[in-house]
Amino acid sequence: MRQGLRPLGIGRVMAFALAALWALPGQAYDVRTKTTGPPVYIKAVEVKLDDDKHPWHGRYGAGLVTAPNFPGSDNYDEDLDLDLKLVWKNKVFFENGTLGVIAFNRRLFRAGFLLRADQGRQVDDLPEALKGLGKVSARVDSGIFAGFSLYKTYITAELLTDISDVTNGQTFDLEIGYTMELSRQTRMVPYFRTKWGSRHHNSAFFDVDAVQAAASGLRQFHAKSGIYENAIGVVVENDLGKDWHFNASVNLARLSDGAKDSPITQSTHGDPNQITLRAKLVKTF
Amino acid sequence: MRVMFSQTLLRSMAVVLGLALALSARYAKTDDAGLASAPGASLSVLTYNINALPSPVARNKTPRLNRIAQILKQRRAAGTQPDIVVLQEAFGERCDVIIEESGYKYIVRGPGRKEGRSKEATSWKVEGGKSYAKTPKAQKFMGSGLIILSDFEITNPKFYTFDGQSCAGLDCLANKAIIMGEISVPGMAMPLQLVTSHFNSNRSAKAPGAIRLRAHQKQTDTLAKFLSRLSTTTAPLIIAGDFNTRLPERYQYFREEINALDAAESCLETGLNCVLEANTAEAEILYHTADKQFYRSGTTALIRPIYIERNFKESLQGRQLSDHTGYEVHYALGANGSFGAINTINAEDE
Repeated sequence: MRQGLRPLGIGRVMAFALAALWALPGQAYDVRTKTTGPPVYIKAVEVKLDDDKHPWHGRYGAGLVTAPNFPGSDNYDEDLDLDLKLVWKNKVFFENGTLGVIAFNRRLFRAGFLLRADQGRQVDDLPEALKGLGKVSARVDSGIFAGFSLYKTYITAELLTDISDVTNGQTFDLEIGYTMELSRQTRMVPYFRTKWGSRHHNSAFFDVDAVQAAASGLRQFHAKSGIYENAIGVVVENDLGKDWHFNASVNLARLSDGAKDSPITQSTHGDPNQITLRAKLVKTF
Repeated sequence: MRVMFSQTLLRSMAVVLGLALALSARYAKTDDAGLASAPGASLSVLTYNINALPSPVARNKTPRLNRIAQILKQRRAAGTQPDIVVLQEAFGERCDVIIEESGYKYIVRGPGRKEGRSKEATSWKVEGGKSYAKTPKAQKFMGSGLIILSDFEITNPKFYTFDGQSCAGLDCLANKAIIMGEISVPGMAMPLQLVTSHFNSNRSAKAPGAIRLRAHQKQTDTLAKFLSRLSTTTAPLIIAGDFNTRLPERYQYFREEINALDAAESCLETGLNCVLEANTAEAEILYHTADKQFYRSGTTALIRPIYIERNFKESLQGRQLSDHTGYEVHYALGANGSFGAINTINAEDE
């Protein structure tokens, strides 16, 4: 009887122990049964699915523009509107006569430096009666800019000064806009813009001095510094494909203060309401 | 003779008792829920969008987050906690209570606000206007809101943040991403692959429907690319998260692009040994839900759902714990061929 009750054998005991150990996952696999002990944080590593983008991107295109022949004009001409934008690493950009460096780029704010060419006022663009006003030479402005954007709203400001000794004036430009997504392909940006000019800047375009008065028959006038233009506008962009876009814009500006009161603007060839229409086809790359 | 019989009986009983103990403890959680035991390992995965949006979008959230943490803690005390929890919309430090209280050992946080390279501007970028008017990259005000909590070791976690074109409306303000980790499930020869994400919402994104759909499809494309590049064909894969696939066109596109089975569909198929929790309606796990789980067997190991439930349905002070409920799936894992001719999809299948 006693002989019959001998131990089960080491193999079976071990099998039982192993099975029991497997039965307790908390102990066997280090799974916690209590909420104690600090967790182990494992840092995830970013993976790359796409090739790095080329440091250059931009757009080019062409279209038509209808704009006043000169500041304060009520005569409009249609012109070819060539469009070129080049951006390097989102730091340096050239866009239609403006060279910029984005020196400060944060989530909400951007700021940097600008160099901009302006064609001034050409005698050929003046009506016969006002050719005596003469030209305002092309100039180069330099200055600083700041941009703020939050979701679909943006505000931009530019402070520029003439560095080409043409007007020796300064301008300040403030714009606020909001992007509306109309459809999968179409976006619209209504905006408001205001422009301030120093006395030198405003004088260059809206003064009528004694010589000019004698040559044009307009009364003498001296414009002061101040806000010379307020504008509302809208930009509409429609995607024609992955890289092709149709871009149209309307800018409705109204001259104010000295710009509005200038004899140039008040003449039969002038108008304080200034409209600019653009339509162009652009390709991004 | 009697002695011999008793000895043999005793030995047999010991072995049977040992195995019975082993199996009963191994599937203790699932047996309670009426699960059929399956060969090999098991794994339970909970995906839960806890709706912890920043204040003032979601106010007085802390008590509800505390309650979520408490429920997970209670489940751990009862031994019924899910092995893995993936959270969405876990924004801010107040969500840490879930990590601290639930007792999970291994944690992977999704990318924060600044992590990941923002590659492209948002869908509302306009070529006209000043070059510097808007940031060239998408603005992010929140992180991904993703957290993985696991009882089993997570190795080699990776993430990829969606680019600016893969979002619509207000969703673009969060740095939404895909995370993948390898989970060392006991009993499995190689780690299981777990992927989670939170896709673009629908109406709450406050963007036109076509743009929302495009963003969702781009996210799906990105996930498909992510999986094709990073997932292996040998190990099983689970994709759990808030994929916002309630709209049929979203779900359809997702299913066509992502090579994985819908756990709910598989569970409800006739003949499959899978149980739906008593208080969970079929619609809650099938298509009338943003939260989903998908799975794919590997060439060396199979996986199938054996139990599904929607949980975290309780209210606190008259308010739901979240605008989502939990979506928990228990999976059986086994060596290739161990499930017989059940519906499985391998990574190599199309």
